[in-house]
Amino acid sequence: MNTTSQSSNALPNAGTPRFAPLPESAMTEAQVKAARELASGPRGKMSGSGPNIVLLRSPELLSHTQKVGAYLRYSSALPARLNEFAICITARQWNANVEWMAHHPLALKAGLNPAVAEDLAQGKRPATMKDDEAAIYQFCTELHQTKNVSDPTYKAVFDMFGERAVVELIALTGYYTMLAMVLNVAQQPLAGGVPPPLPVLK
Amino acid sequence: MKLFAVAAGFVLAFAGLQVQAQTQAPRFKPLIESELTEAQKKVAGQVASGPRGRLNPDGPTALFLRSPDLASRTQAVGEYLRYNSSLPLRLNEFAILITARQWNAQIEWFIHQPLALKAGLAREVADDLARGVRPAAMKDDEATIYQFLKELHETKNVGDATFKAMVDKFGERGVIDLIGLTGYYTMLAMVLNVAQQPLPGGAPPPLQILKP
Repeated sequence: MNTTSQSSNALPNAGTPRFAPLPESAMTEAQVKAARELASGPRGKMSGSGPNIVLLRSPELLSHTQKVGAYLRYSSALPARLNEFAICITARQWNANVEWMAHHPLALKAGLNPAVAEDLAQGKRPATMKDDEAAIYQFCTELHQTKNVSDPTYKAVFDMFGERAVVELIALTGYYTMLAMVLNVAQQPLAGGVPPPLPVLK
Repeated sequence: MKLFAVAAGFVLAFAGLQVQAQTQAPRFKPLIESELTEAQKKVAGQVASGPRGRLNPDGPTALFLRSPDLASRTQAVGEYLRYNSSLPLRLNEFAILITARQWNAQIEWFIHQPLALKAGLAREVADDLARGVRPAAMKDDEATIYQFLKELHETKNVGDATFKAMVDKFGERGVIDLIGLTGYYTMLAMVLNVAQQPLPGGAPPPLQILKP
């Protein structure tokens, strides 16, 4: 393992990993059960580099949180392009490089313009957002930075997508905030030792 | 009463403080029991049959009920964190209060402050926290929790010494249960704040909005 110290602007999750890898052979019975339950769902496997393997230190908690995640990713009222965009906005807010790495390709695959993702990564308001993307961006950005949203921002998402989608968008950004907290504290390394995709913002 | 309101308004304006989010108009219409869909009734029943005993109409789960399948899943996370977490109840409730304070989530504080005191948190610790000052009279384990959450919310990670203090006292499962707890209550604070859900019985907001 490379233990040389990071540069002074080290990212929150660029330090030494704080949780050892957890192969199935090292798991308790409860952990094996929770891991297999996750793998039997829509994700198909337990990623060895994501937040769920860290959450598995509390297997019953993981068993409950991953069901929230499965709903938000696979059954949300929001279209996949906006859902994945909202996850990327959350990852950017929390400097969560692992979260960004996992969801940036999914956002592009779902139709998000690469220029929009690139602006977001740089911490700029994306210049070429579609109307629905702008509504989601404004909502999530205000929520993270001011802890509420203004009336016009609320109305824009509500009018486009309805009350159920408002609740699901908040849950999505809240859930991915929780995952970002886990990843950042765990200082979970990026898969394949790639450089962090998100520049540190002032 | 009116005079007090005027004076309080002046003080708030003078201090440059923002109007509290939760004093603004509620954004979600109350759910009427007779108007619930079958899916919503099922989730309400699921909550009531668990350790909470009822679905609190003023709380976040009632808001999540706009998406019943989601509500059924989030409430299961909440049930684990409140009733089966590896952290002692006093620290669990203290951590919820720290989260509520970080997010200016009046209802979250309103519901959990009495639970924290009942679980043994000193009143002056809660009072200091509500005012946004580092509580002076924390026990060692409370200081560990406070430091961890303060750093996590304000810097998006925790320092090595802070991580070590937490893992030494509570183990890896304790660390994860704590992050799960503050993440989950952050999500609830988000939904309560956006909904501008009023306090039960028109009670005044218990938390002052602090300057960033």
